[in-house]
Amino acid sequence: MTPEENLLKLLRLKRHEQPPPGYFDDFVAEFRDRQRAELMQLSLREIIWERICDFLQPFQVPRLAYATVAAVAVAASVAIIARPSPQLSGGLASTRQPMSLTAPQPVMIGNSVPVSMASTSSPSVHYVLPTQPANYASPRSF
Amino acid sequence: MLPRAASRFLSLSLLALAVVGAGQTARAADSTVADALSSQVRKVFEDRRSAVVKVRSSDSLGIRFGSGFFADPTGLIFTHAGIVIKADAVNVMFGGRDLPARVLVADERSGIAILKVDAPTSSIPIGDSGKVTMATPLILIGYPEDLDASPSFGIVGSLDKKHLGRYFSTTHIRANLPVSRGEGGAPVLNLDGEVVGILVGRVDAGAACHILPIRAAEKVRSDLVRFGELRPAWVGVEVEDAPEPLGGSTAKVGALNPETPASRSGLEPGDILLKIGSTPITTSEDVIDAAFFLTAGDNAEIEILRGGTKQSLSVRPALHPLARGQEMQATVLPDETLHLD
Repeated sequence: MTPEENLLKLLRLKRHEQPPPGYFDDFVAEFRDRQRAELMQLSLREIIWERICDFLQPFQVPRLAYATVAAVAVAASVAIIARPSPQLSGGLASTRQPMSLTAPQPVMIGNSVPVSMASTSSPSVHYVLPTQPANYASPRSF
Repeated sequence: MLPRAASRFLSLSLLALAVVGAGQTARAADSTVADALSSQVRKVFEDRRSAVVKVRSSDSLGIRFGSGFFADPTGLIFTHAGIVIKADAVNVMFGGRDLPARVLVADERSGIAILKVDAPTSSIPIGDSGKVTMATPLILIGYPEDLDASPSFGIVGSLDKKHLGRYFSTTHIRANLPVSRGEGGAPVLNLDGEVVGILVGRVDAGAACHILPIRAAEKVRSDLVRFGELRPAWVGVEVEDAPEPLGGSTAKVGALNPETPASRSGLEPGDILLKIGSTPITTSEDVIDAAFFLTAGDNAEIEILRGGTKQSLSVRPALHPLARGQEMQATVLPDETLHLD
């Protein structure tokens, strides 16, 4: 017989194959055991994600919407973090700041920050007590 | 004879009474100590506040405020150099008066300035900053921001030679004593009401502070009185760390700068430094304090260990190279007379 005929004969035999007796007696219990074992192998993240998907499924939200919302959140976070903070200049020579009646700007003299700069007409006021000492000597020479 | 139960009850009662009494006594003692401390701080503040001043300076950039104090009755004031450096005008406010002041010297090395007003004043006696050790109680009297003079109390935490990895010009007192902006230049006193230091910096947000010992401030005043200018010294010695202490010191002469007093003094590389002037040397860091108290032009003795033998060499330091280019020098006229107490 040719290999093809042998294969056809084997398939005809398979069609009449039956499971052994008692195979279906504990089928439901064994199926549930297998299912529980597979569930135990899932990580917490996968379980939570599965529950979230099950919860959201009835709302018919398109999959693309999740990615869109997540991308917008990430972009907003990056924009907030990367926004430059206001700079304070150091040293006596570079303390000029644009004055504004609506938004008073602090002026740095030396290493301390003045109390306030209330308006364009009053001079800046600075209460002195620096955080760094006046001089840094070298211990390696005298 | 009392029944056994009654005698037991009586003993327990007496014991309880003793315990309660001891507790009450301890609490009374604590409150007595606290009251005494509070009373002493209040007394020092009331006695010395008239000699503490508010310093105001102005220039094209704005107005600066700080604190200061009279060091003698002739109107000599110690304050913070940062208040008056490059100022166009300086005024001193005390006892309801507002007087112009002259800047005699503003020393960036020590961080203090000396002013003069033309008026007789009260003053704070000078104490001994050499006696200040860890946990010494301190009182500061200053003008925080735009508020009136007030006392602040704390204790010495440590004596620091450096901060944030960088060295001071001389050892500073670090006190756990709350300070505020505007109190730069304020006097720091001991419980006897003697000034032992000047507030020159705050640590972080102001829960602690760095204080220049009054001995260092007096060195600045001494130079001013003697020479009319500051005379920071320069010998020309490069210092290294010896691998192990010899004669109790690990400070070793590394090299001598050419054409400096060191090259003419007889010092040699490898000499172990034991004492410079009046300052004992045990590590290379001690050289900072020694150098601060040397005076250019004044002979100084340097004690060394060479080949196991102690020797004493005399050296006359020159003016520090950085001092020659300093803008901040005394502005005392030749006929001005300053008095040391």
